[in-house]
Amino acid sequence: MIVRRASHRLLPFIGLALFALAGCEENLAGGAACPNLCPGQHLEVHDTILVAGEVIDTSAIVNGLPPLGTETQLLVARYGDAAGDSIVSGAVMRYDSLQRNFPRADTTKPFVPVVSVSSASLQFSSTPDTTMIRDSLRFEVIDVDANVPDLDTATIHQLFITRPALGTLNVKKDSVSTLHTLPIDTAFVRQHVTTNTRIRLGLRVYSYGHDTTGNVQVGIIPITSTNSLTGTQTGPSLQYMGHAAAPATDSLTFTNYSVSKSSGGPEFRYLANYQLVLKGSPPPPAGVLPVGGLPSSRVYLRFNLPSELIDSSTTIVRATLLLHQLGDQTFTDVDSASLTPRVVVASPAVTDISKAVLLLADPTTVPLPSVRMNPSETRTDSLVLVSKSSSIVTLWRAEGPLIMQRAIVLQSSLEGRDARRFLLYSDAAADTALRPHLHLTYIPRSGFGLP
Amino acid sequence: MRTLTTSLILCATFVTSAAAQGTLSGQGFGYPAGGLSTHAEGLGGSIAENDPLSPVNPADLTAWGRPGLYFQYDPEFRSLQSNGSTDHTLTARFPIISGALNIGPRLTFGLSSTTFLDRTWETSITGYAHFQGGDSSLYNERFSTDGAINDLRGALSFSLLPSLSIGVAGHVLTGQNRLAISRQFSDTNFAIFTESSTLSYSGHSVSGGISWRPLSALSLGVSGDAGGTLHSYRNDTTLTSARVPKRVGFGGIFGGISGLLLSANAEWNGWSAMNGLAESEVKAVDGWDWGVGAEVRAPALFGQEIPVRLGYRHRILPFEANEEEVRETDYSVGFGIPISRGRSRVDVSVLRANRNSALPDVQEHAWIMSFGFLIRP
Repeated sequence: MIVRRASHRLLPFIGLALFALAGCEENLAGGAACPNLCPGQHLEVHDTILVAGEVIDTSAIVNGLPPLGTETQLLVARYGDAAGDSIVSGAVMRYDSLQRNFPRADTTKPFVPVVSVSSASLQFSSTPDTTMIRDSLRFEVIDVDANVPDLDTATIHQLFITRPALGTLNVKKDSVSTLHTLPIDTAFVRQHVTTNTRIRLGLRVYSYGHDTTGNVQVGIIPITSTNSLTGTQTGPSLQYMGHAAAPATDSLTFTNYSVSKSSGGPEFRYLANYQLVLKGSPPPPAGVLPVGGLPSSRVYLRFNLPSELIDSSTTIVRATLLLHQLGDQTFTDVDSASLTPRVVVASPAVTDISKAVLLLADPTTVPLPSVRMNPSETRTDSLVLVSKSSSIVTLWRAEGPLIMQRAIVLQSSLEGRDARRFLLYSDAAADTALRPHLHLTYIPRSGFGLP
Repeated sequence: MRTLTTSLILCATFVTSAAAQGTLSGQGFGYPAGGLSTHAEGLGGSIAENDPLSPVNPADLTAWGRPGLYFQYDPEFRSLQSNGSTDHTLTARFPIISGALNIGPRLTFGLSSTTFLDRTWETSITGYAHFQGGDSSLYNERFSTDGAINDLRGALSFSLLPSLSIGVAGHVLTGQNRLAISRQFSDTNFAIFTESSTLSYSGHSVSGGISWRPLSALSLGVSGDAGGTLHSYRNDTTLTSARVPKRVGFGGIFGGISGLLLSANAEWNGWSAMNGLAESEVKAVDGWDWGVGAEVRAPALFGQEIPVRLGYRHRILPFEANEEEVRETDYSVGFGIPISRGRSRVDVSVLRANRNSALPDVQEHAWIMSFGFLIRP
């Protein structure tokens, strides 16, 4: 009984102990009495819209992207308009080393050379856009070899136009597949194999309808890749059936790939296949910056934000680039495309803008959001440079002006894959309302602390 | 550039303000949470000048009797009503840790750390921001501060006579306020704004006191703090300087009635000396702090007498709220549980604090639990 009475007496103390334990976890959030009881500290939020001319000191268009030989897809296309062929591009396949001997089992014996070719073809994979084809398309392959330096594409351009086709392939719209085998003149191939000279082939395409020509675009995978397990190679290949002189029954299908395995740098040195624009997009109207098109262009914008905003303790919580788009009526495709701001990581020492537009941060590193829109629409677009997920200003501040250019590049998701382009009014637009603007919201350091 | 600057100035039209504190008691450099033991809090602070556990009068150190340690835990459950809405907060405080050591038969040395001004709070404000482009966004803004200015005291007490002792103490005021502010917009096209800051404080003062028992049933005490200098720093930069508030207090305990102890105390605090420490218009005001209390012997528990305490206290808090004085009235009840034949003790007090000012529609109330643990081997 005594124990029972004592336990009753302890109940208030146990309750107090529990109450005290409940007080161990703080809950400080208040604010019901603000602003009356919240004097002294002021968080100032400033909001301003600046004309781009005040904050962008350089804007430039860089054409011909991606650089020759670094394309991830070779666009072979022909877009027709009322005036005829408006935009035309082809591809160049380069086979600088041809197999001209039979493989030998006994290395002590001399090579057995190929002396004749009974069939030859160009085989390639593609991603055709069948929506554009009217009834059928025709591939043509041309000899575009010339004794000129690699970067002398003007000569190659001329050969594309003047030389006759070595072979053609007609495909009906409903029969278009992803793998194409285009027969080539065997005499042409035999001559090069037996004389041990290189072959460079141009590929062009036409689209036909029942009344007139139409549009066509085919993306060809340019890079030879090798399966690491099986050793088999894929990519545009030059194949031919070679025969030995004796015994006459010896024959073998030889498959030649381009030596290029890599999309290299801007310098054309990897013996890569490449895309050649035969007739490019028309020039944009005055005061307009094109992004995309054929050859594709990027727009380089270098910012000159006031140092009191970017190099001080001020925090920019929003930076939105407002761009006005002029609808490009060249194409009426209803599909939208992405306009992506990319961060330039080139240092100020890189003064060649055509090189700076290639030195870009990986989109996952500074994921500035893209804007999806239709290039044929006239509208206003907002490119977010500072947001909850990423801030280019934070990066610029961290790296400093001596390490990194404070610039972005506008890139189209259609770059190198489609002739459509975004037309954006520049700072030279006649109507100031159409010029780019930068919407900034920033909060100066409050200096809070002491009441 | 001039055009740009002009543009910036012209366009900086939208400025919102929001701020801190958000309570009546947390204004300025904070709430004076320390200085009274749990025992004294249960009696409305009325024994502050005669209580060895309250680091107020250094002369009382003699009453420790033997070496010991004391610490205290004071969670505060606060509610603030304003503009039709109510905030409920919980602040955990450890306002006192102290110890004493006898150096010879008549000299006692004591060390203590008390919370001088507790600046721990957080406010959360939600609103709409409207921008030049015609858009708007919901936002949430949070201010928070954590930390306090603490009073580290080293004191000596000397018994001149069995009924009379004097004491002197040196005080070092030190501590930090860790502040943070953030603004988050609901629109994901805005980055999150955050800013943090740490303030440090350093200061010193001296105090002295007398404790006198003219009669066996009457104890009197008087003490004062001479003030000193107090500086605020950010990193190694001195921001502001001011004087440590002066203080003078007196009180007494009367035990002439069997089973009942009556006590009263009053002290004046010169808080306005701190005005130079603030950067804004925050104003500290001088004020009186007084209290009365009674302790009665309750029925024994486990063979020990349990003293039950009642108290009342009224004081003016140091910092004005919106240019209005803030007053606090406390009603307290408490008890003590002797342990180890009286050598050690656990004190428990519950305070109901009502804080008010001339501001309309603002009411602040708090329940403060206080647990004091005295350990004397």
